[in-house]
Amino acid sequence: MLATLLQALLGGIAAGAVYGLIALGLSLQFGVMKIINFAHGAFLMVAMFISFELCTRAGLHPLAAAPITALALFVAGYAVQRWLIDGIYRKESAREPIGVLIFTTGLWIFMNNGFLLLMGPDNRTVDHAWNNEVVMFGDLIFTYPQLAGFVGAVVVTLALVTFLRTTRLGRSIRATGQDREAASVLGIDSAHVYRISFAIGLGVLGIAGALLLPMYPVNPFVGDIFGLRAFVIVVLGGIGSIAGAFWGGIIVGILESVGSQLMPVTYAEALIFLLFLGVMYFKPSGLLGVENE
Amino acid sequence: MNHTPLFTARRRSLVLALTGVLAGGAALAADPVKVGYLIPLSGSAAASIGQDMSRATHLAVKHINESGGIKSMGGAKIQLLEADTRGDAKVAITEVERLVTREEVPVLLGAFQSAVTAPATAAAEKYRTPWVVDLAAKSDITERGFKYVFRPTQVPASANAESMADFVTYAGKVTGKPAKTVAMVYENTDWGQDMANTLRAKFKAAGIEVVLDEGYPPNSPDLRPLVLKIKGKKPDVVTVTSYAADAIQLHKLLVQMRVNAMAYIGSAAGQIDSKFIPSVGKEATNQVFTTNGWAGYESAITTPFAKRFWDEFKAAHKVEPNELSVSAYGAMWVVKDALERAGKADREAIRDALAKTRIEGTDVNKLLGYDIVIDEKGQNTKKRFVMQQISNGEYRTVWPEHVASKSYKMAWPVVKSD
Repeated sequence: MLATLLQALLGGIAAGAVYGLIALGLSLQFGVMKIINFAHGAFLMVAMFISFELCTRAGLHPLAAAPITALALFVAGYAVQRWLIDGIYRKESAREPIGVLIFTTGLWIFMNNGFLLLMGPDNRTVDHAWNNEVVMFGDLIFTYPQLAGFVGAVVVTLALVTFLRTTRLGRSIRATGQDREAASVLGIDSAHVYRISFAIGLGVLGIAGALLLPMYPVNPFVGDIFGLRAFVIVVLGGIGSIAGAFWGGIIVGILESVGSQLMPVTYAEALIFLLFLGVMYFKPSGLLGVENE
Repeated sequence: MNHTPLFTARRRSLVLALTGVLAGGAALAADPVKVGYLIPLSGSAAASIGQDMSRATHLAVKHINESGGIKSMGGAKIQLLEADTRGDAKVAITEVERLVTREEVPVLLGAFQSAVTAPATAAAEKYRTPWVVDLAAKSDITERGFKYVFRPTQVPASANAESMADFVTYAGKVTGKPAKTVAMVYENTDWGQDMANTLRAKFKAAGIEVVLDEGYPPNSPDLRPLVLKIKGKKPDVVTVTSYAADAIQLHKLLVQMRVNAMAYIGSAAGQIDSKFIPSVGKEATNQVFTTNGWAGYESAITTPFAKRFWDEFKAAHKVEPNELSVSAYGAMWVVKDALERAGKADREAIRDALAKTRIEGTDVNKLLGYDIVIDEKGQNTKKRFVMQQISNGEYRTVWPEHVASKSYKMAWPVVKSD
């Protein structure tokens, strides 16, 4: 039993790190622009399909597909912000950006069904031997994709935190998130910051999609499964907090994995949402969130 | 639009003339026997299945007529009156009324979908017209105490689970390595729980201990914790009741995490999805068991009768017959059998004949893979889902014995991953 629990704990951490990575972009976008991107899950699905095509058509190793997928999603994110969201966002600068919320919801449904038309409803996985290779430490078993997911998530999270803290662009992103008017008074081009933040958010998601693909079959609706989880994690960890998304993901992963060993799997799922409700009630800003004004 | 009636009148006279010619020709032989056939051919997502089944039904009529029609009626030919239900119960009921009152058909066949078949058979019951149900699986259909409804080629979904449990007992007996424990995992839905209820009862009756009985939310982001839980229980057998996305994940994880059970058994859903083997991989799917509603070419196409059906169906439609088309083809032969024994195109006589249906060991049974004995509820309880084992990316039938592949030897227990 002890070995099982240890395996569950470590497996939960590995899965949770990937959940956190998926949630990262969502949190960044909200933190900077105060918009909720409902199409986040759909973009994850697109990332998985891009990665799938890179692996099957171009014969790339699943890991080699990650940076290319990230770049593709970065460009897509920049374009979506520049030509689609920007206009709506500008008109609503004086009030809550409800229009953007509705727009991303529409985009979500459009992308899901567009890919249904394009790719069909089937589940697909990349047939690569690496996907199923395991490493054993005594009784403990891990697959390479599981380890890669964990390491990838940690590295990307650290890199993003460092970027936001130490670079000029990173600091202007944070400044805009904290007070967009003061930031523009100081000469920060907020439109540019928004484009870059949205693009970085999706770029990170691209890496998450590529890391997820060896572990989960892709279909046009796969984003909905992880999208919902990402929202829970973002709120749990604290909206806008990068570290919060990471730790929120880890907590959800552990709860799900260890909880499942101690109670029916369906209850473990409910437990995640119970914690979510508890945090909302006692600390609405999230575990690592900062109280607003 | 004033020319429309003229056109209709002209067409009607043309039809009358043609019918006259045909009737004149057929007058030498016996009058044809009308069979009303209800099937979805348009309108709903079921239309593609309905068309597939309709082709098989037409082929059965052709073969019956070519081989001399209904001999007890002086070689009377079967005349199929096909009606499109559009997947709509209201349309089906209207068509039943038309077929029964205007066309005066003595027997009805159809209508694939449970939601259409259930109310439409109620309408037929009212007119005391016998109905042969093809593939509608809702158990209700033969549980309402109806006198005119018969289901020879389909059994309620619970039979799928029964076959899984029966096979586990059988495999233990023939190999001398019986399973003592089982882990049941199933998606937490109506279907999954239905399956689990039957499995639980059957395993208990067989003296096999259920060490894990776990429903999980379908489309979970991570099924690894569930598989870890299975592994912790060290079960001899793992049953997996899941659709494609979950089945793909679960079977990959069962191998990756070295659960090392004696057998993994699926339930004719995710494991027979066309993407299952390519997604999980030839290696990881190797020796996985799954139920299936029909045994497939190697096991079922063993007679000239079956070969004729397979070849002509494939040649005409460019697809291989599957459980759906085979069942539709078989159902028509059941109607033919009843007509032979009734001896006249009379509703009561056909009803009585259907109620006494006993088709065993014939070419039809060899094609379908099971005998047909109608019980007092109008249900054939003999249909069994077969058990197949995946070997090198192919489904090989291993149970029951009479349809099992001759060239394949079942692996039980399955080879462990190192």
